[in-house]
Amino acid sequence: MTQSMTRRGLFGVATAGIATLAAPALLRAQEVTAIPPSAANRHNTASFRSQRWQDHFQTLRKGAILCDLESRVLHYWSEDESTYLVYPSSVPMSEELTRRGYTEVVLKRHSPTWIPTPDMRARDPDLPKSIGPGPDNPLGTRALNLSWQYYRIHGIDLVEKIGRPASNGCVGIYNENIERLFDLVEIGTQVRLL
Amino acid sequence: MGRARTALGLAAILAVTACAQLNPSAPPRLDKTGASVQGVYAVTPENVASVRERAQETVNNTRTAAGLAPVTLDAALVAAADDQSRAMAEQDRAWNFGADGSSPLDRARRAGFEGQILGELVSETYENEVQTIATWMGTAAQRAVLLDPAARRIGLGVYREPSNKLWWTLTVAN
Repeated sequence: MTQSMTRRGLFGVATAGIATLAAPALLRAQEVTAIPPSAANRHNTASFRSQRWQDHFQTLRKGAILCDLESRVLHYWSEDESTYLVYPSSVPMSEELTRRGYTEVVLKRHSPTWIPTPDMRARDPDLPKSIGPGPDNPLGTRALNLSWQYYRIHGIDLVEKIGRPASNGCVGIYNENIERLFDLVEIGTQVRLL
Repeated sequence: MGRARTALGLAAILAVTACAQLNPSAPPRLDKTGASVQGVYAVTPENVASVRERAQETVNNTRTAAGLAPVTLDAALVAAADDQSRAMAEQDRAWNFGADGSSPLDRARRAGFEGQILGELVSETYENEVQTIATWMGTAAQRAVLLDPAARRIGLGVYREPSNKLWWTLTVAN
């Protein structure tokens, strides 16, 4: 038993090394699944991994949201565990724009107004000053502000963004899903970006 | 030492199974006009059962080499995986969600599966099942699904487009 455990452990180390060589993080983040397979691009793959809240949170006090940026999936568990939601999400466009770790919901915004961050404006000076509620709003119909400045979990203007690296750091989900999540979360709901 | 041996063992297994695939004993496949289709792998209603078995064997060889328990094919998971392969073709998109937003957990439950879904791998490709499993093994996050220590049952789904493009789904459960 001990021997088999050791072997398994070592195998994990070996394969982790190979993975780093085969798929640098930056390339993985920029992978776009819309390109059909061809001679140059032999396959489009994706993966989903189930999650247990116990692996990420001490308790479910005020509920918990886990954003799995690798699977491009948002998980939500309610405090009493009676509700478990699994929603596909958009993820940040690049490693540079990706922030991981623990945060929490600090503000719930119904029909939010979108205002580009200073970084977004620096990258694209032509951005409008703001976009009010409506179908063109990049935040969709609801936004959950996190304790990290400018980071949000929100709805979406273009459904094509879901499941793809399309954001400046935020996590977007379908409007119908953010509307359901919005009603379930409270100020202080725990959030982990993985 | 042990680490190098295990990695080599896995590479050897993948190489052996891949070689077996490159020398098909079946006659050349023909397209609608009767011309031979070179280098294209067709999954048909006649061979899909053996395709699933070969995928299961490949998964089990890979798992055994890593010191993990083998898996069996589960009928409900196979049905759920086939549904997702068709759903991906309809959406023209390789991902783990249905057009209605359903997740792998939703689909397994709908198909009557009562265990716990651990993960799911998908691929849009012309590659066969053995090459596809090798492709999944090449990415850390996807390999972790295939080598989940808790896995005991799988479903292997496939949908073939008229162009012979294949949509593979491998659902992994306890």
